[in-house]
Amino acid sequence: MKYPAEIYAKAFLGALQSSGREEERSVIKNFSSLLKKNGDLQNHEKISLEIEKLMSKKDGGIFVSIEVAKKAGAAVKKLAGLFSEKDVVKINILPELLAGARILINGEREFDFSFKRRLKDLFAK
Amino acid sequence: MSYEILEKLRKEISGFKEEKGAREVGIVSEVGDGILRISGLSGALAQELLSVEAQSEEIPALAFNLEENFIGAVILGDGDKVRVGARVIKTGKVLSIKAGEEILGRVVDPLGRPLDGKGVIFSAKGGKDYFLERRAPSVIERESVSVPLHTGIKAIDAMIPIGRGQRELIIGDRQTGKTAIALDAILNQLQDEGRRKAVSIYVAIGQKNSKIAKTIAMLEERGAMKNTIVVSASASSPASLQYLAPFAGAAIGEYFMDSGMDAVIIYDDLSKHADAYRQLSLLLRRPPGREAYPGDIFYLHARLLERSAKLSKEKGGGSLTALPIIETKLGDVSSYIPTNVISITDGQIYLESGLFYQGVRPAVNVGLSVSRVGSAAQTKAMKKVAGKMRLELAQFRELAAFVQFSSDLDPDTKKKIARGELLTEILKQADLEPAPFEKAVVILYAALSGAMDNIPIPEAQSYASGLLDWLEKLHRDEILGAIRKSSDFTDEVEEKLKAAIKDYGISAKS
Repeated sequence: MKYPAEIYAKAFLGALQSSGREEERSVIKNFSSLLKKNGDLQNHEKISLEIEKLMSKKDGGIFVSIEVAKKAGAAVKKLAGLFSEKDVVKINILPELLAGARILINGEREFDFSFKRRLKDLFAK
Repeated sequence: MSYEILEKLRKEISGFKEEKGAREVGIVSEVGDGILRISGLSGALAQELLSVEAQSEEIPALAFNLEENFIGAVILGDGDKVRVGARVIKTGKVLSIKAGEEILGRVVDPLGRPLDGKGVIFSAKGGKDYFLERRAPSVIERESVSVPLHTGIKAIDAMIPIGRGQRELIIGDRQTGKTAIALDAILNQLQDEGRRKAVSIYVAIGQKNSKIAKTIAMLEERGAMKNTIVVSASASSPASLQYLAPFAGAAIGEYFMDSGMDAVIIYDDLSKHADAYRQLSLLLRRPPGREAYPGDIFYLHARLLERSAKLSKEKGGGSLTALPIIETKLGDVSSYIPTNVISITDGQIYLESGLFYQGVRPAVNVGLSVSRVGSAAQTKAMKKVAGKMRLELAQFRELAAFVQFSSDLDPDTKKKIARGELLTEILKQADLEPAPFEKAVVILYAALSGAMDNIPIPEAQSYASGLLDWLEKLHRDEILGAIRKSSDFTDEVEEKLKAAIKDYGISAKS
């Protein structure tokens, strides 16, 4: 990646903010061609995620990443429902957690209720 | 049996109280070349030790770059096990190494792990933690250099004396005998009587493993290893460990200094250390400066070498003497790293490949070598005997240039040239054969007093060794012992030595 995803995201949002509604299309088009020129098109998902994060932060929301061991069931959906509409909630399946869930807020505060953590703490005793 | 274990595990898990609070974590967003980029973990401190939760183990890393959105960290373990997405937690600690008497005679890596296969170094409660990065002793905690550190090399002990607590650079091209001088200094600590024995620490940075093994074997063979610690970060070690090696050595040295002992540390070499730091800095995307070294390369070596000191009596009176080594390219001492380290240290021993190939070994260029503080620490005996030697050699070098143009010289000039040639010959010394200072005093006295003026140059070395044998057998206590004990060259000893040299001359002729 020529520039980190956060830089791209900041630049994109900055350009959107400084332009009018009628220029929105051209900003998106220019941004896409910039990604193509820099050879960073394959990283568009990362960049989109960063844009999403920044937008939710701007609106006063938080970015939540919920990691579960198995396919999301009713409990996970209930868990995801605890957050407001402003918040961005992503659910990932991570079999190595064995059971339970891990919640990461804004990429730096983590609540770890996974069985993997329980086992790890147990053997670290 | 397995059922019982499962039952126990179930019981343990059911009784296990889980910590429900959130923890602060970072996420590895990039990994490669021993470098991590970590997002999150905004409260991390510079130089803080981090723990990366890799697949099967926790791998330590060191926070290096604190940026707005990222932390740049260097991995201090197997980087191949770290994957993107791995959690990173702060430890609240800075890097430290365990030091104590038990570490003597051992070979360790910069993190204090034994490399010699002799098992664990410290018991569970043994050893004291010493920070790798530590503030150098302040002005009040220091004392002037006053006790000599004899290297066993006649040219150095006579003309470029090193004091305990001094920083003396050994500089020269490749294959000029820089390491040999440092190793001679280590060997000489065993035989230097009349002063406290200095503990030696040899830090090998970016050297071939075979060379390090050879050095350790030589030290073992000569019995010097029991008084030495080797910190090894070979060429195959990651740049992060090569960068940390001198700091680990300094931390071990500080333990001995703080314990009121004397230690000498050899950084072999700081050119490779600078290269390792450049590599780390460039990988961390720090802006490159001159010769692509980062802007703080001077500070890196200054803060390392500033930790060598002679402590005041209130602080225990210990000392840490540093002998950093720098390798020059084609004798160019004016390039970046050599000039930096020359300006940091209290003098330099300059080795010249030209002299080396002429057979002058150790190839010390006396004109370009200097010791800025060591003369205060030189023993009275050496000062009395070798005081005018530097001048005589300087005059010889000046006159030697004229010899090429004219063969018709006045007797005084001829005499000066002959004396210079004799001194140059006398100062030659075989590798790994350090000369005790009292023997150096005696030989230099014989050369400078004119007693050897009639000896042909090719026979000067054999005359000197014969004289030493003679003194060892017949005047061991009254001359050699007296100089060793008092570190002085009294008139009485001088008279006895004069007579002994005369007797030896008569017996050698017959």
